Order: sequence, then structure tokens, then C-alpha cells
Amino acid sequence: MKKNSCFGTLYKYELLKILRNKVTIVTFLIFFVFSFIQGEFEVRGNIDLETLAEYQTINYRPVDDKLLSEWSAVTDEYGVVTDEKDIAYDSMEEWIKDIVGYHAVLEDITEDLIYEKRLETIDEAYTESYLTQEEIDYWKASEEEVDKPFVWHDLYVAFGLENGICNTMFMMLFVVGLGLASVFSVESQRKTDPMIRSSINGEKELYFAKILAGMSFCLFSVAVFLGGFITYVGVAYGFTGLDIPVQIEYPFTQLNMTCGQAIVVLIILTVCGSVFISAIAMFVSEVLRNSLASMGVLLGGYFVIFALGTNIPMKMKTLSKWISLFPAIQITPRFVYEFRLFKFAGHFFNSYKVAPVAYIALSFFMIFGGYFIYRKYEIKSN
Amino acid sequence: MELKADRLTKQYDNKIAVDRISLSLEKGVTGLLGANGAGKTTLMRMLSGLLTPTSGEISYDDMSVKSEDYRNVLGYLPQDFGYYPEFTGREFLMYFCALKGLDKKSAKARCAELFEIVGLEEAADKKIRKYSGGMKQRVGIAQAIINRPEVLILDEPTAGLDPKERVRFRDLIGELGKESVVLLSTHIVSDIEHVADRLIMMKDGQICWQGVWKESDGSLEEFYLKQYE
Repeated sequence: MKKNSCFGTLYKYELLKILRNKVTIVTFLIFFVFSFIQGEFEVRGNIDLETLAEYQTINYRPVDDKLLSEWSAVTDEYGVVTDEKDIAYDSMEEWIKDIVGYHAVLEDITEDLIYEKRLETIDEAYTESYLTQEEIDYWKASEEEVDKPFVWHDLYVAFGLENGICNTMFMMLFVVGLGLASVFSVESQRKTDPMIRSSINGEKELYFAKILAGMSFCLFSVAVFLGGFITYVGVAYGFTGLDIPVQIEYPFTQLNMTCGQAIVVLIILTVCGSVFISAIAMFVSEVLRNSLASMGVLLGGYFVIFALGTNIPMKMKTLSKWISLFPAIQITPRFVYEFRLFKFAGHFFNSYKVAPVAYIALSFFMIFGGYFIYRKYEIKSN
Repeated sequence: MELKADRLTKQYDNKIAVDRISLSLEKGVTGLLGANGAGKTTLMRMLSGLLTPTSGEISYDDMSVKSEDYRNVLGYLPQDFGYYPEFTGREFLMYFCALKGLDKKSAKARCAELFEIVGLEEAADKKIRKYSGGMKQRVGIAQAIINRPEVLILDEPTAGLDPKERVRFRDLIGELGKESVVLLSTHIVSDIEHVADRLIMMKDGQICWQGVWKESDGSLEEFYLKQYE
């Protein structure tokens, strides 16, 4: 007799189990609203619309001696704009100070000084990151590709988008923790597992229906949160300044990419990172068979790795490099400052390229490893 | 139709829950009696393929109890089972229909039939959290017989039912025993007396008595109590 797997029906009911969890839904709705709200405060912050419009008057100008001398002329010795009518130049203050130093004399800033100081700081970063000569050569070759002089643009939309996307990763951590940490444990806790496991479709079909339902919930949530936030920013402020080199945001990176490309990288990292934490949540749920413990392991583990990853000495290069791939550390706009590289088959890869592949590969590993554990599980307690 | 167990043993650390039990169950209702901790649930779980014996073998008509083929003909009602409070009775049964491999059309028809059998037609679309204990027990019985099982293992199925419902389900189990191998565990001796064709009594993980109980043998309750003195 041909077996009827009923996968679609099982998937529907597994999805219903997740979506009818009130705590999950309330959390989802709060973050859904928040994703729009953060579109406002992450981009604009405390700056009024008139100032934002003023900033745009110097957009797309090359960062050369002409622009720098104009900036020097309207700012005091601390780099602060002295007259409100010149507020457009105010947006350059942080960027310049970041390169030349906060205690530098700001009156005679030149194009040469900016580009020279930038390279000096990058050299220090090579040393701090314990790069090999091969890695340094890689970055020097990459630097050649970066167009100079840089083209100036106000950074509010780009920074806002990046910060909002990274907040989404934290939102996903909570939504996934609440929604998916119970996907498998619910059957043990509600004592439905003996009935399930004595049914013909209670093994492979149900396991993969649960995984697919969990992943659908994860992808739907991340799409809604990112979609809501990005749409709001696009409608309210427009996607301006995404075509300029990322060095205007992060001057010491040698990646040859635009701000828009950096944002796309962050979106990919966030989506793949969400899939990864969903796979972890469901795996832990299956192993521990307790929703609260699974949630604790997921959230606790995330923050422990975050603390560990940010404090681990760079000297322990291999360990710190691999730990830095975890979503807690990797998914930040500062991924552009990661100089350490991964070498596979004679080629160097940046961490932002390795991380999403690692997330998906590890997710598959946990899903199929979890299936092995699921099949071996026996209902022992009475 | 023959469910066979040969020298079945289950040991948990230092405790032997089931000790070298051999039995053969055929079409009809077999009653399983025993005090708490006698090993009934462990035995039933091994017969359902949910628990691997420490030693010994189980088979049903040459099928392994770990096989999909066996699960296709099995119905199991655990002693202490749960439900999804956010599901309605109908959703719960539809979900179990999918687990038992029934397509949507057959599942709808079977659900309607089962709600009638267990007397829950009116409550089918109410959330299970609003059900009484007896109603939940009836939904559990319904899920066990969704696939018209050839082997039906029932662990305390009438617990929590009112006397009228108990009689109704006793009769239903008797009917099912005409076509299936039914193993019925209960503390209610009168239920066993009414429906069981054969009887197995367990004590300390072993079978202390098995056979056919006849009215001429006297009171089953008294005999049962004597085994535990």
C-alpha cells in the first residue's frame, strides 16, 4: 500500500501551533510596530528635517582640498560649525576627526593628510589583527581598487539602515527564542509524543514538517521586520547615499564596496543568521525537551558568545576569528573593519562571505543531526 | 493477526521493570491487570514500539514493531496523554488523521464518524481547553482508533469517564476486539470482566497469571486481590 505522507497538512498544523502561541504573537506584533518606529529614530534621531535638507547641499562632492578648506573656514578649532547657515558642513566633523584624531589640530586639514592618516591607522589595524604578510598583500591589492578621492554624502540613511538591520537580528533572537524553542519540547511537555510516535507519519514526515514550519516562521518574521523597516525608511527619506563608497561611513575599511552593498551584505547576514539561530533553537528544543531551558540556552548562549567574542584576545587568531563569525559578533555594521581572512583552497575570503555559508551549512548539520536524535528518542517517563 | 513477545525484559539502571515476559495476543480483547508499578505501561510501550526492550523480541505477523508497517496498523492510547489547548477537537483529530496517513477527504469523513462514536459532535469545534476531563479522554480514544487499527493498545482508556460513558466505551472496545488485537489495561476489574476474552495479571514486572477467566471460576476481583496479598 502506498504511504500517504500528508506533509502539507502536518506542516499546516505545526505552523498553527507556533502561530497560536500568544506570547509569540504578542512579541511578534510589538517588534512589527517597532520595525516601523525604528525607521524614524534610527535615521533621523534628534536632527530636524531642515538640517537634513541642508546636509544634502554638499552631497556628491569629492573629499578634496577644496571641500576641506571650505569645512575649515566655517568651523572653529574643535571642528564645530560656528554659524547655523553653514550647518551642511557639520555632518563632516565626526568623519574627519575619526581619521585625523580627536586631538589633532583641525585648522590645516588637507586632502593628503586625510588619506595619509587613514593609511597609518589601517597599518596599525594590520598589526592589531596579527595579519600575515599574505593577508596584508591582499588588503593592499584591495586598497588599489578603492576609488579616491572619496565622494562625500550625508550618512543618515545609510547609518540608519545599518543600525536598524542589526536591531532586527536582536528582534529575531527573541521572536525565535519564544516561537521556536518549544517546537519539539511541546510534545514532551504536553505528553502528546507517545501518540505521535506510534503513528505512521510521526517520524520523518512530522520532523521535517516541524522544521519547515519553524523555518517558515523565521523567514516570514525576518522578512516582515526588515521589509517594514526598510520600506519606512525608503518612503520617508528615500534611499539616498547608498551609491557612495563605504569609506565615507567607515574610513578605515579597504573593502571596495558602496554603502548600499554593505547594507545588502548585512541583510544577507541577518537572514542567514536568523535561519541559523532558528536551527539552533529547534535543535536545542529537541535535545532538552523543555521550552524554558531551550530559550535560556539560546538567549544565554548568544550573549555569552557576544561577551566572549568581543573580549577574546586577537593574539588567539584562529579561535577569535572563528568565534567572530557567530551572529552575535558578525552581524554589525563594523563587519567592514574585519581584516582577518579565511583561506580555503589557496584563496582568501572575507568573514562576511564565510559567515552566511557557515550559518546555512551548520543549520543543515543541526537539522539532519537533529533528525538522527529524533529517531533515536524513546519515551521513557511514565 | 498475532502480536508476539518473547522473553521481553526492560531494565532501568538497577530496576527491572519488565522481566522475561513471553506472550501471544490474538484477535479479541486481552485484559491487563496489575498494581501500580507492576510494569504494565512499560510493557505496553514496548509493544507499541515506543520503547526498545533491554532483551527479548516482539513481532506482529512477522513485522518489527519499529517498522512503519506496524505503526500503520497500530492504535495507542497512553495512560497520561496531553492535547493542544489552542486546537479545537476537530483540528486535533484532523492533525492525528494526517499523522495516521489519511488524506484530507477521508480524514474529514473519519472525523465526523469518530465524533459521533465518542459523542462529541456538538463540541467538535470548541477549543480543547474548554473540554471536561471526560471529553478529553474521549478525544484520546478517538485518536487511537482513527486508522481502524489491527492492533489497539489502550492504557487506562476509561479513566475519567462517567459510569454511563464507561459502559459505552466498554461496549465499543468489545466491538473493536471482534476485528482487532486489543490489549486493555485498567484498574477497573468489572470492565475487564465484561469485555476481555483473555486476561493477563502482572506483578513485579512478571506475568503472575494468564488465561481465560470464566464465571464459574468465581469473583475475578477477589482472585485479583489475592495475587497481591
